[in-house]
Amino acid sequence: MSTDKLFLETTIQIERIFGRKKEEIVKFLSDKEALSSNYVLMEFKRTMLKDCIALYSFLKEETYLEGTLMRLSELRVYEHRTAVRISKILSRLSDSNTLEYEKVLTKLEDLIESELLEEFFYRVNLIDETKCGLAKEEVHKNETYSLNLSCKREEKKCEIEAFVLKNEESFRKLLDELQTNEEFEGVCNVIKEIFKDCKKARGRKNCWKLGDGIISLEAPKGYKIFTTDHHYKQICNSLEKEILLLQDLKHATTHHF
Amino acid sequence: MRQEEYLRFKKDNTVSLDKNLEYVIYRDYKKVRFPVDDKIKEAFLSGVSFEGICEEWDESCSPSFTVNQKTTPLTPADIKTLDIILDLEGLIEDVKENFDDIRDRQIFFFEFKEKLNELWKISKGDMKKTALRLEYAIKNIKSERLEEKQVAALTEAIEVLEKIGGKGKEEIKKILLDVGIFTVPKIEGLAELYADEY
Repeated sequence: MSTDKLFLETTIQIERIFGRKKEEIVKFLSDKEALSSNYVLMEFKRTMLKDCIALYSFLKEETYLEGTLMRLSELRVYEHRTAVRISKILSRLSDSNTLEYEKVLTKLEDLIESELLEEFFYRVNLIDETKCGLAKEEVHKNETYSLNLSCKREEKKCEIEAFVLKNEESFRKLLDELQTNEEFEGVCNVIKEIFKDCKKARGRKNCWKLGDGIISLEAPKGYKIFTTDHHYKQICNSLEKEILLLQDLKHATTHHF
Repeated sequence: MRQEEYLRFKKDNTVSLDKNLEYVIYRDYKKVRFPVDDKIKEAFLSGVSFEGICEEWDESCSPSFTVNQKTTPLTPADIKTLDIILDLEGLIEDVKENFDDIRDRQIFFFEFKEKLNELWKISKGDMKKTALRLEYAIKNIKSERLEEKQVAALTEAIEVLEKIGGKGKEEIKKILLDVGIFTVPKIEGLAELYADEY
């Protein structure tokens, strides 16, 4: 199979926008058919976009760059990974603190209001197998920005149950393959739970744990899953899907299991 | 006066600011519409000058109606923004014209970068964001590594800015991305930091 059709997973979307190898990725994709999904868009919004919104509110509250950096440095004690991510974004947006506060704020506004999504959709078509309602949530601006990504089992905002039923056999394969690996223990427990009651697939607690599996299942036949996340190797193995890891891009290697 | 008129007049040197920078001075004109026949249309399309066509004009032709609507005000800030855009257009043209001379390329490209900063300072709303997109896009591009296709894309981007201002920010982004110019900075290792979130 050629590498002409690619399904972009969330980490590759982030890498394509912010990564060190973005030139390489954009060039590589320029003559390919690139597809992604609304579920990937939801993951993008709840991570990348949400981080930018949080950073904006830190900046507005602290009113200057140095203060915000100090605050984020302190935040590392409470919420290390989030603080590291947000600090990195601020550091690069401010060009290592050489740009003025107003400029960083304007750039963040642009990223939050439109630029991030413009990049996400650049030369990419979207499919929507799960009808995830969160993917359609929009950013609202008042004093700062807000994005409602709450997802409760009782509130039906998607068709994940139908998706699970449609792909029941594939989820069984996934369970068979992954339960031998401790790293996937949480995922396997959720799969077992939803086999008993597929309504349990709803809500962020379970649905988000199944994310990698859902995305892999969404990828249509003939499309390779393009990712930076090595966990996909085993998932794709069980689902007999093809995968292209960014790390292997130089040789455009196909891992076909 | 409308933005596109100001830009056109500025290029034709028919518009200026008064010495106290309080008024825009321009040559007023009347837009007169004449019905034309196929012969005149053909002459226009083949490049015959307006004067040449007038000589041939059938005297029985008379104006169908006259329009004179030059009243939309431009603020001094608008004028300043438009002037900077014209400067940017001129500077990127200079980069293009002098591409083979690395010294000129550096001088004009640096001026272009500085001018973008000026545009950011005086503009508002989408225009401000677009100026910043352009600034982020080129601040890490050194003149010696600049490619001709990138200069062509920047020229096209400034043309969009001139035509539709900040409303063109998405179009400008696409023009730049198509030639590998990125308006969002690289943040190394970010994707890895998100890996556990999915």
